Amino acid sequence: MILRFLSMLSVIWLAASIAFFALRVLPGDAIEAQLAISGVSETQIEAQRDALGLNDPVIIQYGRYLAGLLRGDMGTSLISRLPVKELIFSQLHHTVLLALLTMFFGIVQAVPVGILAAQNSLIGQLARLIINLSLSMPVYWSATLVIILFSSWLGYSNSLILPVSVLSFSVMGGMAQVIYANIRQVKQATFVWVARSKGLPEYWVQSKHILRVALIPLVTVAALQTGFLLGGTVITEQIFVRPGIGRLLLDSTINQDYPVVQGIVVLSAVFYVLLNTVADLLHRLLDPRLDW
Amino acid sequence: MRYLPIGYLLFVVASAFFAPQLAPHQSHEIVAIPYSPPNDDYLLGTDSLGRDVLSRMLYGGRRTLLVSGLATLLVVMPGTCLGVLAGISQNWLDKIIQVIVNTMLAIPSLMLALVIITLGGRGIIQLVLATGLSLIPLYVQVSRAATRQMIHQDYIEGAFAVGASWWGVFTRHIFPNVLPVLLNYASVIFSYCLISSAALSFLGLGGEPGIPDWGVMLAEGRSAFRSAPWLGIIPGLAIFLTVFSVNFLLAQSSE
Repeated sequence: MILRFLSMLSVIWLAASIAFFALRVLPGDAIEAQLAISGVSETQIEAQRDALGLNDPVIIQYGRYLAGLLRGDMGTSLISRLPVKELIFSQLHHTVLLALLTMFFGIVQAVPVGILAAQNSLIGQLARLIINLSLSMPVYWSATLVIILFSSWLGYSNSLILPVSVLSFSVMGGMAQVIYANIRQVKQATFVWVARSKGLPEYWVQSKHILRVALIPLVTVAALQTGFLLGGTVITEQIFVRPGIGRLLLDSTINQDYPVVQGIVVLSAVFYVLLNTVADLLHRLLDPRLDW
Repeated sequence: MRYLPIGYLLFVVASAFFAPQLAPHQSHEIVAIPYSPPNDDYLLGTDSLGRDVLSRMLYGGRRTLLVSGLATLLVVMPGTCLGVLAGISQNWLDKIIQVIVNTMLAIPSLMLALVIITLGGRGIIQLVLATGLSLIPLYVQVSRAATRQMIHQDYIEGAFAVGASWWGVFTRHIFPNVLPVLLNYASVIFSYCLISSAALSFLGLGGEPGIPDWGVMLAEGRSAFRSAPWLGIIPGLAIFLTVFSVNFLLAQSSE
């Protein structure tokens, strides 16, 4: 348990450090680019950088950054001069809303499709085809098609319907496949055989014995997916012209606004670690065969 | 049923390989008025600058497939080593590899890609790195799980019991049995690489000026989706059908 906690902390620390050093390797920064455009003299640029502490040795900047993180302070944006936390939180609810709706509808589709895919009938084949379609459709293409088809009469500017349907269909495939693969595996387990030979009705065996076990791994996959979605769905945001973390990440990296990029990386690492821990706890709760 | 996807994949690979021989025009050559719909002279129409879409698809496929193939190698080689190592060791080494894997998964892949491309500029190697790096942890997890499962089999424990050496058991029993899983997942990774390298090009991060690839073409086509929908549909369809064929064959082989 303690080891687990330590490894979680080290994941966040490593992610934060990688972001920090990877960005320092890049030549230049936002201040330079910004002031160079406005035609300010060299000395003024240097004065600015001094004031922001960008001229200090990297290791001191790193120490300041970590100390800030421990206090929950992510620094200030080099461009808008707003606190990074404020900037991120102004975008976060868009991303969280999209991610949660996507996961909800993704699971709602994945469970029946996954269950049907395990049938040995025409419906099963159809369900497997749908899984394959979902796995093979790149979001940028399905989104483009959806816009070509529907934009004229749905008006996609502010509506969540199109992005959620495109994204939820795309996350559905992976989850449905896990359900399908698990049902196939569990079907061959001894306890299912025992249940059948006790004379239990088939629907009972299917729902109480097979499904109950086969749906458990969905927790882990869903958590991983949610983590990826919270890290930003740049392409969806780009295509449907929506605000969100992904767009903020893309813009800040291109503009070399380091503190914002670091903030987003730390935040998504925290999300990732938290989601994984919750999924693990749930997994163990649902499946007592696993131990710490 | 299975000949269709095999045929399509062969067709894509062959047409990419022989693009210079097959393409009726150069990929950057302006041959007709912009936005001509598909017709007898230009089978897939022309794009916003009046370049032949068919020729661009052929040359573009060449680059897209090359990038995805190289990125797959980049994922598979370190991924196998780290995964198998973690699966066998089951001690502190495994824990360390787990932390590395989790860290890589926790960092948004877009940030890594952007750093690589900003640092290295535009080019095929940079695109391969940007595509592949963030997929390595997935491959490590799969190869680790497969190795671990193998290690607890009775006959492996039996081999140890009769005094077989670590290396002998590994090369003779563990690796050959893990290999099918690894190859299978390598083709999954290939389809991921195809999708995400085109995604990077789509976001304007991957392409080099003057060299077409399917992602760039799709992005260009998207901006004209009202007047010339085929420009967005064709490259997307090519990506989709390639990935679909790979996935279809994988599903067939598992049944």
